[in-house]
Parts: sequence; structure tokens; C-alpha cells
Amino acid sequence: MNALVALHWRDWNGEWVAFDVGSGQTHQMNTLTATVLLLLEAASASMSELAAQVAEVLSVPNDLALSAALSSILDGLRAAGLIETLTQ
Amino acid sequence: MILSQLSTVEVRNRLHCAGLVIRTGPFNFRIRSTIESVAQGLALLYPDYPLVEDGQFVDFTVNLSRSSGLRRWWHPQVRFVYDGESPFAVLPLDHAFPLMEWAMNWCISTQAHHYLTLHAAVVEREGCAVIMPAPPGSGKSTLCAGLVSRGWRLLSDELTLISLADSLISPLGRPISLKNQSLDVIRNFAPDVCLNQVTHDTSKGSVSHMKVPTEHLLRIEERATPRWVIFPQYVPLAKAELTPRSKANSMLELGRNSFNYTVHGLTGFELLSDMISASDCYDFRYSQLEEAVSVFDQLALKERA
Repeated sequence: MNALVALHWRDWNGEWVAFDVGSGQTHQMNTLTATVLLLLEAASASMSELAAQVAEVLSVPNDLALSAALSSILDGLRAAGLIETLTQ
Repeated sequence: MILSQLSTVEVRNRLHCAGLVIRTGPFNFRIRSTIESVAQGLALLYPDYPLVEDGQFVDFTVNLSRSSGLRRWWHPQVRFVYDGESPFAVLPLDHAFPLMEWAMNWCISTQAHHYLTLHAAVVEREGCAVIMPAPPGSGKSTLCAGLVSRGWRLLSDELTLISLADSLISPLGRPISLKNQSLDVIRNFAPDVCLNQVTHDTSKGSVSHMKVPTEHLLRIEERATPRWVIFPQYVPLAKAELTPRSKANSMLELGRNSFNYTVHGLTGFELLSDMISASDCYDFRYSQLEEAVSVFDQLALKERA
């Protein structure tokens, strides 16, 4: 997560919004994106760790389709300033 | 004491000198102007509004003055002055009354941050409020005027004031702004409504304001609970129809339609999301006011049941 981000969440039957106290912005997202962000909020993870966690939480196959979806979601979250890529 | 209890001479004396101080919902406004159309508009549309006693706090002072300079002899103009500044461009003198209404809205929307303020019409029945955010031209004010002329209580046609403390909506109770074709629509739909003289060639076209029913002003202290968030849209020939709408997206749209959501930060987010949780959210398409009112009446009937 971006260290400056502090999220407050609401969900209505799979429709999610998150308010970032740091930026004052409100973000709307679907369950998959919200799950990714909630997991990263709890702890940093590599791509493979994240895919495994998402697959387990949402009971979906950990396959190439999920990896592609996560890659796109992470790009979006990074562009929104919500997450950062850690370098070794 | 209410405005109609003043003589026409006294109304003008106050407007010309110290100001006429009236209460509209939770706000006290001091109006100062020597322009006759302002006095006439106030006498027609504001006769039942309480006057504020000397010494009481005044929230906003709205000065509408004739602009100076040579131009005043052949193109007289009006200027809105607030705290020594002129926030708006000068306008032709015959725009003075609508300018007063716009100026009053500006005062509230830019400074009354003890409310979460939405750019939305809001009406009430059975204690439950319908919030109707929509861009200009969507038929929001026309629908609002139609509902108000058929038993729904007007809280506001422009500014929804949500309490930061308890989420209840305070009535503002100001005249309803109507423009262009909607003027004839409302004249035909509710021939008894009182409209001010029409001002032509404004930035919004031809505009007028509809008087608030007296019985609504008598209940001006009575707040309402948000129950529905409805995004209206006038669509020619469309059958009046409510369509359920995403709560998350409705919340974001309300945030975009708010004057001060970002000012309130986390408080604004929690207030708005609680309100959305407690409300049913719909898109609403309509073309005929009669049908539209009937759909809203059904909502209220279901709520009562």
C-alpha cells in the first residue's frame, strides 16, 4: 500500500466504495478489486501470493485469467496512487 | 412578523437603507437594493416569510446595486455585492430578481459548511425525503414544482441541506426556479401556482420563480429523513419509470453533486454512505408530469404501508 493511504470502506451487496483520508478521494470498485486492495491493506504480497490469497478468499481458480485480471487491477490501483510496487 | 405585514413603503425603506432581513429555512438574509423589481419580486414570492428582529444574527447580506458609469444611462445593469466583492458578472437591470435568487444560493453553497450541501431538489411526504440530483436541463425543477403542486412538501428545489449531526434534511423553502418550456408546462399542470414575471435572455434562458405554498412555510422547522435518492431525466415520450440504481455509483454521483463533500472529508463520506445505505436509489425517466407524480405517490403509499 501507499503509506499515505488510509481507507474507509462501505459495501452494498458487492458494490464497494473506499474513501482515502489521505487524498480525500472516494473510489468505486467491484468485489475483485476491493478484495485485492483489502488484502494489500492487511499485508504486502508478491503477485503469486496475492493470486493465491484472492483465489482462496473468492473461491475462484488460481489460473492465468485471474493473473491477467489482477495485473490489470494492480495497474489501475497503482495509477490511482493507492498502492506502490516494492523494489527488492 | 412576516413580510406581508409591512407596508409597501416600509419594504422599500428597509431595502433602500439598512436592509430587509428575512428568514428562509435555517438562514437569515439581509437584502439591500433600490431596484424596484427586487421589491416587487419579494412582495409577490416572499410575503409569508418571517422578518428577523433587529439585533439577531444575519447569516448573509446580499446587496444588489445599480452599476455606475456612463453605461447606466442606456444599458442599466445590476451588480451583486457581497462583503465588498462582486462574485458574479454584472447583468442587465431586469435580471435583478433572478440574480438575487442565484446570489442567495451562492451564499449558502459556498459558505454554509455546517451542512453537507448537495446540488439537488428535495421534497417530502410522510416525513420521508426524496433527493433528486440532476444536471441542468434534466427536468429536475419541473418535476419538483409538479410534485409540490400535488401534495409533496418542498424542502428545496436547488440545495439539499443535510445535518452533519443527525443526517436529517432541513427545509430551505425558497421559490422554485423554472425556465423556458417548463414555465408553460407548470402553468398548464397547475394553473393556480403563483409565478413571478418572466425574465428573458438570462444565461439560463427565460426564467421565473414559483411561490412556495404557505402551508409549506408553516412547517419550515420540520426536518425530513432521507429515504429515496432519485436521478430524474426528462425524456420526450418516455413512460414514467423508476429503475433501481447502483448504490455505490449513486453515492459517487451525490459526492460529485455536492458543494462541500470534499470539505468534510471522512465525516462527509460517512454521512453520505449512511444516507445511501438508508435510501432506495433509482433512475427516473419521464415525459408527462401527471404520470411522474403518480409514480412518486406510489412510492409514498408503499412507505406508509
